[in-house]
Amino acid sequence: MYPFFYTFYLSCFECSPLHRTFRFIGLGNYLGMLKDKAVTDTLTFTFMFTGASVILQVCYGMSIAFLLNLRFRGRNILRAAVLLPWAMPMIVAGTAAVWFFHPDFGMFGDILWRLFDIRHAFLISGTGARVAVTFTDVWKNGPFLAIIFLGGLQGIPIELYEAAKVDGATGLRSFWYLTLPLMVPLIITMSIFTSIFRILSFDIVYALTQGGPGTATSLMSYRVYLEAFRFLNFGYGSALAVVSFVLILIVAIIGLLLLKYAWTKLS
Amino acid sequence: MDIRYLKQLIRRKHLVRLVLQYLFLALFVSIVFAPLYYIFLSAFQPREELFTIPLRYLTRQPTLEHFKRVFNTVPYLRYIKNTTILSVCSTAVVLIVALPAAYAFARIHFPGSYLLLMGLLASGMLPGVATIIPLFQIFQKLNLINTLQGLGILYVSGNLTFTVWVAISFFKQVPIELEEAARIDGASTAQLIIKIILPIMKPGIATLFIINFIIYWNEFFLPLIFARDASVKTVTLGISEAAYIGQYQQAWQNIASMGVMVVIPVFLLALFFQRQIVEGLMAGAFK
Repeated sequence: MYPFFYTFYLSCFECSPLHRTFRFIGLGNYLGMLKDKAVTDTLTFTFMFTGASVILQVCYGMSIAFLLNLRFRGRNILRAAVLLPWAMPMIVAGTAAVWFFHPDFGMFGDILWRLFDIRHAFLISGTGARVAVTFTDVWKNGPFLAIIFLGGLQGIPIELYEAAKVDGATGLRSFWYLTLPLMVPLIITMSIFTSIFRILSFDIVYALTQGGPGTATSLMSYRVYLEAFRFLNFGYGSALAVVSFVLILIVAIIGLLLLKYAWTKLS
Repeated sequence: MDIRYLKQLIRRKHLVRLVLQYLFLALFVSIVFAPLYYIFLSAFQPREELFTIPLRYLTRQPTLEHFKRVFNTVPYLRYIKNTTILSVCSTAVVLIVALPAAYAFARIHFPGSYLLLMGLLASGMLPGVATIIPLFQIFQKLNLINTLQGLGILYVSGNLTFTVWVAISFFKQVPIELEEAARIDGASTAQLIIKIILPIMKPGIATLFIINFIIYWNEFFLPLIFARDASVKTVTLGISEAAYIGQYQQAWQNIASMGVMVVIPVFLLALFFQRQIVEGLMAGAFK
């Protein structure tokens, strides 16, 4: 806990071992952030990335969970293999993604070209790089959610489905009125955790875009790392760390409130 | 006539469903595995086959030249050794600390025990970035930067909360009647733990061991900041080194082969212990 409070303390100082300064400037670091385009860019992308990635991951994970819940040959092997993206280091996935999205020699570039006759360099434009980062993240972490959701699906008693069938609800209707409401608490819980981890993501942008082009894909943790350990502005870095902590706190509180609401509605 | 038509209709509907199901499965399998295949393929493809337009998805002469080059320039064996030592030791220490704590939380209720648990969880939820700068300064003063011990301390404290959390839910699954019965038979606490609890908990412990091991193996942020010297670097750092071999920046063939060498141990673990991993992840998520 001590380092945590020390971060708060440090965030009110201009502190840099490089210039050997240690000067109290109150909220100066925080006010400086408002004018720092790199930071405002970072915040924007952190929000966009977290939102987009979590929503896509939940959808992707949910579809995989449904597929793996069906009966077919080789299901157990597939259930094991789906863990592979989860088990690999993000730094490997991110570095490989640099090539995966290469317009000429990357697999994604190649497929786009074969199917739609498009050659598109994702990583040189801000939007393209943002899309690439989000896709890579969804690909890597979606299967993890799928495994959790699969567990949730298997926890729904089969009697409920039979009862629904008697009432004439099958297929889509039983999904909409039975499965989904029962899964909502789990989806919310996992969304909270996933969001928090997205805000803290570091490896992915370090490997894939280095926050670029410019600062289009820089995330909070990456900014903290740059300020503190590249530019050696410990004070400013600490202030950024405090901001990301506050962000996480907000997400957690909103999530818990949503969860409470969902539970009361369910019962 | 009518009935036959109806049967046909049902069969056709069934068939459509089956086809759709397998179509989606195929789509999903290709989304998940195509990138993995691409990495493995590139690691074995000779250079002149790698950079062709259009891309080739099969190789005629698989080669080990990229592996050799990476092996000769990146101190792979030392990094693997560091990573293994760190992962195994940190996992062991985490379990030694977390299991008794979790057992206490699951079984002994004393005033404030709930508060203590919540405090532990809250401190574990603290994001790494919020503490990393002071930790760096402290470690500098203590001369713990560039040491495996220093990294180990960070690894252990980083995963402790998660491990306690999951372990509590495992302990709660052990029926309390079992322990009561053993007590009546005159077992001491030590006997109880060694003879009853530990054997029952074996699968749970294995689960926690594997998940922690994989998380530690993949750790990148902490070594990036706290391991500046080659003697303590980990394999994940080796990836970025492999990217800068020779004259080409980000030489894909080197990255791919290094990636394969990093990934294979965790892949094997994930495949072999799939059941345990899933169990552990779900215990962590639900409770």
